[in-house]
Amino acid sequence: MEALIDELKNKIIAALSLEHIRPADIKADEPIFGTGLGLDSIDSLELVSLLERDYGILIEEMSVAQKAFASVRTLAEFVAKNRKN
Amino acid sequence: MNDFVIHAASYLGPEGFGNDQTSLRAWPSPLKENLARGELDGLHWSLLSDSDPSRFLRMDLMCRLGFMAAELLAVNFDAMSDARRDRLGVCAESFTGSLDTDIRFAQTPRPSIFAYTLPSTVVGEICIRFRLKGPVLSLISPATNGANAIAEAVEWLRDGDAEMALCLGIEAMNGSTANSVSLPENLLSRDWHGAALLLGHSENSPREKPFVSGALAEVCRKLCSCRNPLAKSIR
Repeated sequence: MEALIDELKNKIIAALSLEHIRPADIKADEPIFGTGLGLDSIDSLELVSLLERDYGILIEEMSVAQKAFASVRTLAEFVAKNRKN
Repeated sequence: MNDFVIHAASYLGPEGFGNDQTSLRAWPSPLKENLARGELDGLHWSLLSDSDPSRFLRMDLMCRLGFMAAELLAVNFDAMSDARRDRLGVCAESFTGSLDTDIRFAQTPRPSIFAYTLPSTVVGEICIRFRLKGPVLSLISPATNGANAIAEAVEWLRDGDAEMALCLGIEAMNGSTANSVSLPENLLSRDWHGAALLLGHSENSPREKPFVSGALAEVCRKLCSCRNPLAKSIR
């Protein structure tokens, strides 16, 4: 799980152009929307696109995404459970 | 035009960057050589400011140039009263508009790129950053007669719709983007640039230091030597 968390941190940084942030700066259990990384709705669309592209996970309801995107750890748990790639 | 004054002016282009008080400074090498070739990926917020670059890093080229031009004005918008910011308009003018981003989106469709496939997004980004709530407009001017953005701003000032107006002239086309598709010759711009003018009434200048006409002359010469629509208005 820790390896997947690190992998997701790097993917988030690359996908969202967070060049000024290092993976170590992202805390696995902190919110990634609102506070924390301060991401917005466009970023959530990018993450949905990332999940489909890199893990074969199709999110069809935003309520599912909201729970998964609460933190990097919840995202990693969601990916581990649902990934097809 | 004689009713109003230019409070500040800025420019960034292949030759360098500066404002009416600093004159033009050359880009550092090797960035300078890349910019001269129209390869603009190296333009970075850290060249101008130590502040948080997070918003800038997400922007497309057109927004980055407009953002940098507004920053280069060295006007302390944060120190303005809310009432003043509520009546500060923003008008941007461009020939190619967001075409660079449109092409990139067509090649790599992504939500984060899609948000910038509008030539008006740069106006929105600047308004958000500086909390400006006056009238806004974004123009695409194939004729590049040079007067449109400033003319609109002057109308706002004359009609009382705004007390000040930020006029932007932006041409944003990355060389690599242009080379990746077959564009008509008149859309290929090696004269990329961002320029900004802050217009307003003669009293209550937002600058602590008075307007320095000597340095502005050099900035204006650079503006006038390229296809920047704002440059022709100044001349």
